[in-house]
Amino acid sequence: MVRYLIKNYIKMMLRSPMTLLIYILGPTVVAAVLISAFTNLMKTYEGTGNFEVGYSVEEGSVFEESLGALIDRFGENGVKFTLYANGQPEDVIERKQLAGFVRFGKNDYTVYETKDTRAQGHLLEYMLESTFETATDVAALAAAAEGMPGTAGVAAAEGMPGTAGVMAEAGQTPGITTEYPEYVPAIDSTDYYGIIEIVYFAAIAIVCGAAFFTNEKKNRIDRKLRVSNVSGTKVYLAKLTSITIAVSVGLLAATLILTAMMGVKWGNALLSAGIIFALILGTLAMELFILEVTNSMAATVIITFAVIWLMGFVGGSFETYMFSSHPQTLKNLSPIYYANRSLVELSCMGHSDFVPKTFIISGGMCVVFSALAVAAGKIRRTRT
Amino acid sequence: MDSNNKDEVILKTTDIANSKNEVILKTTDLTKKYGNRIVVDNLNIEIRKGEIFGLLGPNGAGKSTTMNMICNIVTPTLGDVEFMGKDFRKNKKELSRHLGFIPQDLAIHGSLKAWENVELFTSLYGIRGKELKERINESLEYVGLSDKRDEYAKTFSGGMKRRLNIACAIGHHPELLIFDEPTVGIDPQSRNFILEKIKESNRNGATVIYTSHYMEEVEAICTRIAVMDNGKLIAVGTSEELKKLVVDDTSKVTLEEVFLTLTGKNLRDM
Repeated sequence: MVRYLIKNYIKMMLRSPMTLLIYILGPTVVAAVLISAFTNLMKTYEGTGNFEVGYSVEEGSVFEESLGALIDRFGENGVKFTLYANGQPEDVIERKQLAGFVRFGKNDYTVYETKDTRAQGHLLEYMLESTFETATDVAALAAAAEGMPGTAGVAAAEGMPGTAGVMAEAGQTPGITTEYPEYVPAIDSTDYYGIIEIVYFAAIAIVCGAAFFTNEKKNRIDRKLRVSNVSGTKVYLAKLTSITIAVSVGLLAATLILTAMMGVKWGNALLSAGIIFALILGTLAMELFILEVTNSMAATVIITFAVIWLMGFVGGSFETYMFSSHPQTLKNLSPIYYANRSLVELSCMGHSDFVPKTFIISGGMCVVFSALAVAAGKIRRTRT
Repeated sequence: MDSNNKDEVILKTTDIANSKNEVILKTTDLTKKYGNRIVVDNLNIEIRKGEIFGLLGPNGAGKSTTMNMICNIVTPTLGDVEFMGKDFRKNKKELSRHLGFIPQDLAIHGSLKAWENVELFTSLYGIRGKELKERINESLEYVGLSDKRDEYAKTFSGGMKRRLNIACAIGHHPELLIFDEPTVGIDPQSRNFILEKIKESNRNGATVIYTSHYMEEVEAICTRIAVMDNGKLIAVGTSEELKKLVVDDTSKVTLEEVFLTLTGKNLRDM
């Protein structure tokens, strides 16, 4: 019986001009505007390819052992590291006309950058962050595997502007086994905004069902569903599935338009589609839960826009996540950040370590919020 | 008669105990409270198979809440609903397929075609495939909308929407049909068509519960009529029996006059 519900719900949503407008024209137009607006900014980033930074290393630093390989790898990516053992970083930058400076301390590092070389500084931060995030994860796993009491962790040091740091509890770590990911290559505004606008619109899937839900409530169709044999769980699943499919169809059309007209590259198309599909399921489950609790489409849309805007704000929907000034901890709280990062890295690198995390987070959201939505619906029905 | 004294059912004359037909629906002490407000108060009614049972009452009398409790849409505060000899709430899955509910609201989707609306609601009862197609055709034929099957419901007139509303509720061949004011806001032709179809359904074996504010409709089609006010049942009987409460010569009084006598003439701003 759910099959017929899903089929007819999809028909209703795809026949709604709202779906066409929001999910096909929406991302296409917004992405086109942003691509055009930020072309120059992203070109600045592209132009950071070759630059020189200075560095110093404190004796006994946890980074000492792996620094040689790191410098080689950075060099392959156009970032030349030069050792300046003496002098204040600020002075060295000025004297040697460097794009930045990295001081590797015992357990942490500090990045110094100038106002004139912000793009290079941000790129440097991002590359270091990517490297040591992987490295400390590896160290933590190694410690656990060897039954050692030590752990390794990552913490962003946001104490001063223009600095970032990674702290590893080196006293107990078995030594950092560093893995060097390929750094974010030169992504242009077309790929970045073409991708992240699709993600953003995927996260507001409930809007696709707004007209349908409003009609259902206005005509009290839910009462007819409750008289019938069909359970609340089945109706919920039918709504979740049908909206997900309808939104996916709309976004597929938008993606094809963006790809054909603007040349947006997706890397692994199938995996990218899977990530977007999972994100729709996860965020939609949350939105359906809000709808069950508020029992008001207007309130749901307002709350959804507020929550998703916040997720997008810290997750790279309005400024590139690699250049954003938001703390990493905040980014890590946004499901949109994981989807953005996975898809952007898939587009420009062909692979991303964030893909599993994205699926786990979206899947987890779907399961948890679905259970909550079904329970909330049951409670509301019992109280009437 | 004193319309203020409504603690007891003042008329329960029809001896349904002697009716050969079995009881299809029975409510026992059915009560619904919202906070301190009692909306339905200890309602006890029995409806026998093959009846067209009218439920009358002014606004706020508790008719819709009673219907909603019978249909399992609203949970009673107290009391039970027995449907086909079983507790309806405990056997909902098994029994709901025997119930067809035609709500006062036009519970149809405007952006679906006529046949798609019938398909959606009929499929909720587990009917599928070829059988579902047959039921769709049969239901649309029954309400005279076969030639409009491929048109969107939003393009229909008020009367056509009402008929489609009925088609969506009969596809699973229910034994008990509940009509909640099905003729509101439609032209006389559509109203006549719907009333004829209700009688036809009854002749074909369906039991009907019917609520309306149109007294002449109720008088024309119902075999027994119950009058509710302030959440209580105040009278049950045939149209003739209810009229006899007011005058001996029943030809001199209308059901509406009886209704106003029983429930009072004060406005009910509910």
